Amino acid sequence: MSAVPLEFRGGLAYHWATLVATVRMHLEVDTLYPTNVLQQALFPVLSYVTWRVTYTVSGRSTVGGVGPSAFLLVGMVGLLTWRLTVLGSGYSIEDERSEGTIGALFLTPVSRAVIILGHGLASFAGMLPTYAVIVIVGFLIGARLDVTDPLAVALALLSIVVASLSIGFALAGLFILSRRGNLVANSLQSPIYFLAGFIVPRTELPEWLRPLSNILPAGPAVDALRASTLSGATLGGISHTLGLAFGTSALWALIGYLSLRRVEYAAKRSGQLELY
Amino acid sequence: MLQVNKRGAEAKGSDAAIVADRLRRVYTKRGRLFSRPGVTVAVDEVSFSVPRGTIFGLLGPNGAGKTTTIKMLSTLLIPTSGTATVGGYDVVRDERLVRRQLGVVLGGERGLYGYLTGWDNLVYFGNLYGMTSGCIRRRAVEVLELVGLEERAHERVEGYSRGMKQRLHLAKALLHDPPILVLDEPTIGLDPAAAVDLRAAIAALVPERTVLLTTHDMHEADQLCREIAIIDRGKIVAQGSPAELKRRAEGERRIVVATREPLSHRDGAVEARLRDLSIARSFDRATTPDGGTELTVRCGDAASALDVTLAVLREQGVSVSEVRVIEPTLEDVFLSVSGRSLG
Repeated sequence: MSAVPLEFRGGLAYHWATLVATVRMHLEVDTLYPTNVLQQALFPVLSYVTWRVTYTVSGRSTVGGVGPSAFLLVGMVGLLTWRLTVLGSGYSIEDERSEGTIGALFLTPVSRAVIILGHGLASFAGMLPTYAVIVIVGFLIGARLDVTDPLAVALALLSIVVASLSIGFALAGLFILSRRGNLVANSLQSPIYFLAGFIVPRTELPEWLRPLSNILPAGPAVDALRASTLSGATLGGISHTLGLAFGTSALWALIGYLSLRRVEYAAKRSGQLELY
Repeated sequence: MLQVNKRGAEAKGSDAAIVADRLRRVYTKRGRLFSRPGVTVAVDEVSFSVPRGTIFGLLGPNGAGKTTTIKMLSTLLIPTSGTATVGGYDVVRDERLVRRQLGVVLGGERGLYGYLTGWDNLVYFGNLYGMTSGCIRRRAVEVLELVGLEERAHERVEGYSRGMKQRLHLAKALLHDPPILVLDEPTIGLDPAAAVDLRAAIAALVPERTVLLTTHDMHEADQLCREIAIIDRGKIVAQGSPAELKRRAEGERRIVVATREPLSHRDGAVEARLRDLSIARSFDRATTPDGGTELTVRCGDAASALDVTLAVLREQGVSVSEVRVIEPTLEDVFLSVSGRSLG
């Protein structure tokens, strides 16, 4: 027995400490190898340049009412946030499985949601330097911003993070049950880049794809960021779009929370929790 | 801050730390393109209770249902039927409370973050259990010292040997100072010296804590456990203290008598004489390296059997070079209750 009685945290302090510990642990592992950091920075820059060249080749000088460089700059910020945050949170449970730690993790009384959130936030935090790289590249290739309300920009950025976390949260449950959930998620990535308006304006999508685009919270979130950074929109001007982004995010988060509980029970019932 | 000094089970005043009541676990395999559906009963109506402050062993061969049983007790698997409580809490209804009571060593190569150091693993798991930062640091030092890993604590776990990982598993299980520990094959894969050290550490856990231990090592069960349940093909086939269980296998006691010269020239005469006296259940005969004969007699009453055997050998003019009495082991108990060896 411990010589001195141990002290335990309760309630919010417990969740907060778990969140911070998970973020720290994730960042520590992610930055172990410099190639990881380099790869994270290279992917969005290469995507950015590739899509910019595609627009040049197509002969379009404006996209969604602004220059292609500016349009894609915001799209790449959205794409980067989406990609790493969704993958960070969504894959967190699958990573625990492949690492062989899911049993040890589920033996603790910790909230699974906090762990997933921690991994998602850590992925976001880990790519903060990459934002700077993208913005610099954007300015070098002619992107110009028009910001009048920094609060609107900040909330629009937050809405992209929240949108990405909510979808990652919903995917995490899927990964508890499926041993190859990442294959499903990977194959959905490219269609989502289009549907969320990262690469082409959502208004230019075919009519029949609009409903699918509307259920993805990243779509309105990116629209709000474009309006606030490229057209000088104020918070009042984007409030409806932001409301839509946060509202659909809440819905996905709720689906994620319920499915997480449901699938954990199902995995324990079927004996699949630790299989990989 | 929460001061955890009153644990649920103590509050409930039960004498048993763990109670399993007719636990059953069935795995259903769905039919696929190239395989038929099937049903495997991994654990079949298993019942036992573990008194507080004792080490209780689940002994059985690989695939007997030991790990499945402890996974149900530690909330990683939901029983198909039956109930179980840990520290007075139901393993299905109160799973979070059960997890707070438990330290579990599932062991092996998995269950630790290989990229992190041993220290960082403990700090992370300490946070997952809700321990305060100061408490984690103090306790991590204590448990690392207890398992003898303090000098390697700041190395990455992926570089640890199997034995070091096993010791870190135990440190992790002890970190939040749980009143109940579940150890699944804790010494499997360890070299003999490391196994001895780890057994000593486990023995020192009682009476402050309760330990449920699974093993297929009879020596380990015999040495550590106050009570043992022998499990085979998902069912408990015998239960009791090591001494009680061995008494059930009294017929498996053996006396071994080595003779200076071979018994072949009196072929069958000695056995026939002993058989006439009805002292033995069976005989085995082997040749010793120096050309004599080693006669093994299975019997219930070793003292009488030894007297009679020696008398018969004297009567036949055979000189004896060595006499041994081998008490029944848990292997014999397992053999007698299941009809097969522990393997």
